[in-house]
Amino acid sequence: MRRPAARPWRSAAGALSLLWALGAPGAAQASPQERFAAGHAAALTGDADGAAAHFVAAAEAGGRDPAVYHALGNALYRAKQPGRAAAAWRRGLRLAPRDADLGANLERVRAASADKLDPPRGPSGAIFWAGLLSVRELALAGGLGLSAALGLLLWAQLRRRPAGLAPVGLGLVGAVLLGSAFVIDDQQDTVFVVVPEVVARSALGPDGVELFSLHEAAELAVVERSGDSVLVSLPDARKGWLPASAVLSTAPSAPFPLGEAPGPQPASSGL
Amino acid sequence: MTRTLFSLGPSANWAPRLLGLCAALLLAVQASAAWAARLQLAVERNEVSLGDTVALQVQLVDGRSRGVPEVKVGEGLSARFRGQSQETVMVNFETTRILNFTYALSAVAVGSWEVGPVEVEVNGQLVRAEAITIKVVERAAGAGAAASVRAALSDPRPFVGEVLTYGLTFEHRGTAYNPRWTPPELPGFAQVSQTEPDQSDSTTRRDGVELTVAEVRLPMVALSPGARDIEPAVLTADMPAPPDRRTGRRAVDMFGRERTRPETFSTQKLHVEVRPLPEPRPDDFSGLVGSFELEVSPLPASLPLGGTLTQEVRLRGRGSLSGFKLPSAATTDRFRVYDDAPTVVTGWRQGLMVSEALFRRALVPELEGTLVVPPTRLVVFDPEQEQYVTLTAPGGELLVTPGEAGGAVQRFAAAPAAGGGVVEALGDDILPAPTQVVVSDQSLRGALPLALGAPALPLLGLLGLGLRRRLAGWTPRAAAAAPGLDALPPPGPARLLALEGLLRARCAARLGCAPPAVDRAAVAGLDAETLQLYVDLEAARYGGEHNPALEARLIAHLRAPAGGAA
Repeated sequence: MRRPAARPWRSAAGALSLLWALGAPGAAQASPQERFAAGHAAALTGDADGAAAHFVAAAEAGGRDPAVYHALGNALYRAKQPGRAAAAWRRGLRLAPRDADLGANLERVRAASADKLDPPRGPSGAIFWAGLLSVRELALAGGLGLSAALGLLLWAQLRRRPAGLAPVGLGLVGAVLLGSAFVIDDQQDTVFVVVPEVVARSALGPDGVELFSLHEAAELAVVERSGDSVLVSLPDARKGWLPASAVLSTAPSAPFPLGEAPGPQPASSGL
Repeated sequence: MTRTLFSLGPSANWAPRLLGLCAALLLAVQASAAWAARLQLAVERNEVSLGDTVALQVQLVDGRSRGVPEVKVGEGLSARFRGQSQETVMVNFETTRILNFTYALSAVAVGSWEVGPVEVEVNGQLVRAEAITIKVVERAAGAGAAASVRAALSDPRPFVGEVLTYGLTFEHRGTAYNPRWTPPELPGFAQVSQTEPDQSDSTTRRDGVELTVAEVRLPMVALSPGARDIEPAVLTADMPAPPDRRTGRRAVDMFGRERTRPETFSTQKLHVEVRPLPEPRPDDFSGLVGSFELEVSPLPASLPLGGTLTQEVRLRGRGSLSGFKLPSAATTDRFRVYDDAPTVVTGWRQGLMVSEALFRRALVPELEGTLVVPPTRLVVFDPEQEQYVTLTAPGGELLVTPGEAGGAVQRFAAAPAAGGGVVEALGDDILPAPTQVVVSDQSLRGALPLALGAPALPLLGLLGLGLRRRLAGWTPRAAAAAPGLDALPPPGPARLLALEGLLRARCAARLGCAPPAVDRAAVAGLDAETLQLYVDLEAARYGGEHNPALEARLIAHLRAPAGGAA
C-alpha cells in the first residue's frame, strides 16, 4: 500500500496548532466566558464581592478582555474599593486605549481621589502611536507585516523573480510595530494605591524617613521593584518606597489580588 | 641529550614552556602593578582665605581604580568632585601612568582642617594617602575685593510647600567672561517643574570702576519640615590673564585675543529652617502655598437658554501652580458647570518667580429666569501673612432668556416636550460595562501566538523550499553560474535546443563575442571538453534523437564554474 506523500503545509499547520496551544493561557481551565457570565449574574443580585471574584477568575483563566476589566472595575467600585476599581479600569484602557467609557470611569475615580496627581506619562517620543493602538493591535499588525514580507519572499522564490524592496519595507514596518508592542507593554508600569493611606519612605530598612503620604486611587509610575517594596515616582519627580501590598499593578497580565482593603498604614511600618 | 628551553628537535615540547613563561610574566607584571601603585594628595595652597576655592587632586600612580575615591574633609571645608583625567609620563624608558581625580575644595569656616586620608582599592589591595592639613584664615581687609560671590535665600524660614529662591550673585572688578555655576545639593527641596533658573550677566560701573555682575536664581519648593544646611555653590569664570612681565602689556594669544584663565569661587554655606504648615488646616484647604490673587471675568447681563457662558478664572501670584486644579463647582438644578484643562504659565518678575493659571469654566443654564452664579472661593496658605487666607472672586447674576428652540434643547429637567420626551437626569454614576461580548485574551501575551505564528507560515515555506533545493543539488552559486538551467523544458528536442543556447552563451562569454558568432573553430580555442560537447551537440541535433546522456553531460558542464572544464 502506497503511503500518501507528506505535505509541507500539514507540518506547518501542526506546528502552528502546537504554538497556539502553548501560547494560549489557561487552555485547559474553565471557560472565561462562563466566569464572565457568572460575574454578571452575581452583580445582578447585588453581590459585588462575588462578582469581582468571578471577573478576576475570568481574567486569570485567559479572558484578559477590556470588557472583563470594565466589569471588574464596576464591581469593585460598588464594593467601595476605588483604588482597585481604578487599577482594573486602567488595565482595560491599556487593552483598549480608545474606550471612552473606561476613560470616563477612571477619570471619575481620579477626580474623587485625595491626591491631585497627573497620570504618569506613558511611552512617548519616538513611539508616537502608543496611544492610538493597543499592544494587541500593534503585535497583530507587526505579525501581519512580517508575514506579508516573508510571503512576498516566498512568492518571489517560487516564481524565480526578484522580490524588490517591498519585502524589506514591509518587514521593517512589521518589526517596528511588533517591537513597539513589547516596549509599550514594558514601559507602562504604573500602580494604584489600594489602601486608604500609605506613607512613602526614603529607603528600604530602618534608616528610611517618611517622605510623603499617598491616598487610595493615586496612580504612580514604578521606578523599581525590590522584594516586597516598590519604588514609585510622583509627577514632580519625588520618589519613595511603598509596600507592595499597598499598591496594585496596572499590567493586564499581572495577578489581581482581591481582599478587604486594609486600614491606614502605620507611619512606622518597617520599610 | 641536552635539552634547552627552545630546542627545536623533533621531541622538543617548547610551546607549553613558552606559554607558561608568558603567563608567569603577565602575573608578575600584574602583581608589580599592585605593588607599585601609590596614592597621593595634592592641593594648590595649604593656606586659603575664607570663601576661597582651590583645586584638590587625588593622584593614583600606576594603578587603576573603580569609581571615584571618597575624600573626607573637616567641617570647615567642602569638597566636590569636578572630573578626572589621565596622563602618561615616560622617564628613562619607564612609563608612569597617573590618574588624576580633581575636586573643588572650598573654605567655609576659619581653622585648621584635615583633608583625607584617602583609600583606594587597587587589585584587591588598599592603597592609602595620608591626610593633609589646610589652614583657613579670615579674608584680609581689602584682599579679594576684586571678586566676590555670595548666596542668599529669598526666605530663610519657609513653610512646607512654599516656593523660595536660591540666589547667587557674582561681582568682579573688571571683565570676567563666561561665568558658569554648579548648583549646590538641595536636600529636602525640589526644583519647580517647568521653570528654568533665571540667569543674567551685566556690566556696570561703581565708583568709576567697571564691574561684571552675574546673577542666578533657582526656584525650589520646600518638601518637608526641619532644619538643614545647603552646601556652597561653585562658580567658575574666565578671568583675564596677568599682563606680560617683561612688556607690561596685556597677555594675548597668537590671534591677538586676550588670554584668560579659569578661576573658581564658592559661596558660603546657608542654613534654612523649613516650618510645617500650621494646624489645624481648614477643611477646604486647597493645598496651595503662596501669595495669590484670584480674578474672575465679569458675567454678561443676559444669556439665551441653550447657550454656554465661558467664565475665565485667573489665579496668579508667587507660588507653584503646577498640577493644580480648581475645586469642583457646585452644580444646581439651574445650571451645570464644566471645567476645561487649565493653562499654567511661570516666569520671573523683579527677581521673583510668579505663576499664573487660567481656568476656563463653562456654565450651561438649564432654566429661564434669573441665574445666580455663586462666588468662587479658594483657601490657600499665605507665607507672608503666615496664615490661611480665603481668596474670593465675586459671583453675580444674569438673566437667562428663552432660547431660539424655546429652551427645550438644553433643559434636562424640564417637562417632556410635545412630540418626544426629554431625558431627565436623575443621578450620576459610573458607565456600565458591556455584557454581551465574547471574552478573549486581548493582552500582548494573547496576541503573540497569532502575531508570531502568521510569519511562521511563509517562513516554514521558505525553509522547506530551501531544503528541497538543497537536496536537489541546487545552490545559488550554480544557479548564478548557469542561469536558465532551473527552467529547462521537458526532455526532448526543445530541451536540447535550450541547452545549446546556454552552451553558446557560456562560450560567447569566454570568447568575448556574441553568441551567434560562436562556431566550431572558435570553440576549438577553448578546451577539449567544450569542443567535444559542441561537436556531440551538433551531431545530436542533426540526428534528431533524444540523447539523455548528452543532456546530463551538458548540464554538468554548465553547472561547473565559468571559465573551466566541468
